[in-house]
Amino acid sequence: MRNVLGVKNAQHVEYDAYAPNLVIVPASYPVIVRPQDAPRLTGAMKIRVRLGSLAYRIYRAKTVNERFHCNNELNPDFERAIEEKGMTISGRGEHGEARIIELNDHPFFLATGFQPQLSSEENRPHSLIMAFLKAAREASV
Amino acid sequence: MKNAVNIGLMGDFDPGKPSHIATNMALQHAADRLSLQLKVRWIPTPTLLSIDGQKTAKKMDALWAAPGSPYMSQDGVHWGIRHARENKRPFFAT
Repeated sequence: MRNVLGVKNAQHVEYDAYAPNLVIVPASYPVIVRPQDAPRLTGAMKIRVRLGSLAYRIYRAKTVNERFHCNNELNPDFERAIEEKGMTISGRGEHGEARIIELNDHPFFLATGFQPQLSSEENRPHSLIMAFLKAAREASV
Repeated sequence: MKNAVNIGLMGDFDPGKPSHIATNMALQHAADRLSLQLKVRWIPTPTLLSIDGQKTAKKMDALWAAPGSPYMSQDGVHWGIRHARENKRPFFAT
């Protein structure tokens, strides 16, 4: 945000809740019924995966369920700006919230609002993490 | 193609954080499935503002911005993200 889009003071709510350009903000639709100390986004949630994206090529599915444990999300006011500068929002939540973001023209550059590591199992490694390691192997110095 | 990968985890490792333990385990699950020898190095976020820390990060095949924000150094992680973007290094953030 700061370097490519030139958004001065682009900030994450956890670092400065009063910053003028909050790119990462508290989730708009928190899970209503959740344990007392649980973050706003907790548990399994459905994500719609964008056709043609890297995420789709990895998942090979239009919808997936992922486990969340976080409070924040991308501020929707910045979606258009980042897409114009070469990013794709490749996964969306039930209300259209950005859940997976990837950078175009890059071998593997992907961010998620959920934690795939929470659902990985020895007999069922997470597909995103496998794709990340494959990309690392191909990029190996 | 090599069968070993060096993964840099940009984050302030805390064994009390389930997400950090899960990250290490999930990487091993995937590496085992792919028959890859895995080397994981947690890179404390403040060190990413130092020459030594950046040198370490540059040696990694790929970088992962670990869960568990706020980081001790947001600027350190930003350096890592920019390095990965500009140098086409695989980057993951969860």
